[in-house]
Amino acid sequence: MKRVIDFSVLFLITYLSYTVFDVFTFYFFHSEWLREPAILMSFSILVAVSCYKMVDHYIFILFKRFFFHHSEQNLFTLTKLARDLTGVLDLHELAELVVNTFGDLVKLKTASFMIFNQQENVYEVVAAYGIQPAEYEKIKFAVDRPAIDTLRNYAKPLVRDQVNQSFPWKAANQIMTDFEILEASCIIPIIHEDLLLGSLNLGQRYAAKAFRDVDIRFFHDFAKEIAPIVHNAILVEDLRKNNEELAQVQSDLIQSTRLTAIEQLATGLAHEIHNPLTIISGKAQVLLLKKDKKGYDQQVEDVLKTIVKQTKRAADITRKLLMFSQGKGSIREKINFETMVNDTVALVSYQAALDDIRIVKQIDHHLPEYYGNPAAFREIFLNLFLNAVQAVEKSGAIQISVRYKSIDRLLEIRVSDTGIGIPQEDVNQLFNPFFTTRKEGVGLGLFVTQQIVHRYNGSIRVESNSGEGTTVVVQLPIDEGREQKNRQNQETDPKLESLETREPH
Amino acid sequence: MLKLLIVDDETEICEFLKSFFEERNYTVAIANSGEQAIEQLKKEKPQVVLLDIKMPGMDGIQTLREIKSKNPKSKVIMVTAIETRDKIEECLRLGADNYITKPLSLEYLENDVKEKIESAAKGN
Repeated sequence: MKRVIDFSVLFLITYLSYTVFDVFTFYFFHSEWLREPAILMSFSILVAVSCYKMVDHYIFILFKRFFFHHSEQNLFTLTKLARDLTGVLDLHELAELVVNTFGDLVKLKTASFMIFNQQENVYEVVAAYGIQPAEYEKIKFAVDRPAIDTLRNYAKPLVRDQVNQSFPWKAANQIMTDFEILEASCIIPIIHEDLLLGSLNLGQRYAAKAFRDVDIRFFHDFAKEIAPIVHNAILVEDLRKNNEELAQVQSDLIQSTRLTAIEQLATGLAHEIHNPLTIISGKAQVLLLKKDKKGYDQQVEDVLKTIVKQTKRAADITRKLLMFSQGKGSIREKINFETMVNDTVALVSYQAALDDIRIVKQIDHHLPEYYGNPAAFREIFLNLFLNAVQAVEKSGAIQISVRYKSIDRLLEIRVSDTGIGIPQEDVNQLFNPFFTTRKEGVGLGLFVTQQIVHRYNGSIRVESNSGEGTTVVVQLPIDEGREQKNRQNQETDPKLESLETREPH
Repeated sequence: MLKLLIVDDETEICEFLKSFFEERNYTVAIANSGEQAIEQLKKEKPQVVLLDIKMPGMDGIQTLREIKSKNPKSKVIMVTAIETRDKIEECLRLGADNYITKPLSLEYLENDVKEKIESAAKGN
């Protein structure tokens, strides 16, 4: 097609110059011999040939404008993209947009976007087209990497096919390795204020055609245009990361301060309270053991027994608080969830029957082996049950299920009740120590439960709405429970039982 | 004869434990500090020592170390309000024969004391 146009235009030029020469010689030289067709013809061909190069160029441009409308459209889209990106502050979104647009429009096999990561001091690929995330996320280039170094100093696009000609063979070889890793055939640097922010790495075209100089130049212009945008996005990203870190540090600090404060408080309390309790309980026990000699009436005996029992209860509160803040290395046994649930239900069944509460149990029969501290797990179940019983108040149901979720490798314990529910504003506070909604509550049940669950790397959440009942979901990773088995074997001292076993009955 | 030394800075605790054990035909000596305990130990030569961990001055752990360094065979039961596991582990490592938490169960304590005396008699 282009040939036809070329020939027609050349013919036209020849014909025109022939006529021009003809008229010119006739009027100015009045010479007949000059008007010989042969001479005129030679002149016009000479003109046509000398014009050819220039004419061809314009024809090419015209031709492109009319027949390669599509490719023009692509350039237009990319220019527009550069302009539109101004509003994008999210680095990953920006990178995705660029590689995908390039990949689709220029019909590339691969395209990737590499950005400087200040924290790790490396250049890393943050988005790619035609490369799997698992693959490209591994790509991290140190700042002194040959390709990076060259891009920084050379500040121009690197084209794979030209590397061998532009650099000494050793450097060229190293750069070629980086081209391989990036699956690129040309690397366009993104430079802002003399700083190499990153690079746009373009792979081969599907059409198996090499990039032309024009293309490369255009890509380079594009990179120059988006450089300030990338710079902004990097700043925003850094700010976001710093913010996140700060928030994390802050929340850790709050959590640890709160815990240490409680631990200290509990230790202090334990010492101050346990001594008087020991005296009260001890004296009552001395009296009780003398009962055979003295022969008290039943009332006195009951009072003494109550004193012993209630002092133990008071001591339990502080002990519980401490027991779970110390935790490490307590005994681990295989947990039988069925027995444990049955035991717990038996404990609360009297109260439940009084209040007309129905208890439904659903325990998977084939739960995987799980190792943990039985006392701690009894604590979990008891706390959840007591909360449920107290929430239901009068007539209702409590449902408990223990299931194995094989996909997530999790044990899931759910305790639901049809009780009064918890107002949304209280749900967030449930795990805070000493938070309670009951007049006589201590506010440690869920706090302690959460501490235990966290120790087993599990999670606990409460789903509730006022008036619609409450569900507590505890999830425990199975692997953690298996690991405990190994730790259990390290326990060698048979005298060292868990703290709560040394209590008066 | 069954001889017992009770070490606690809280005199009331010493008193009721003394009356409880005397009722059961023990001879009971009392010390209100670690330093007193070491003295009493020399004087009274008890078969079993009940030793509180938290005391001002020389605490239970230091006292235990002292007792065991003089006579590794003496029987010591640690009494604790509530201690961290590390501390209890340390006591057991230092040779304490058992530990018991406050508030005390007197029945449990008596059985344990008896057991220690019996095992001492067997020469362990």
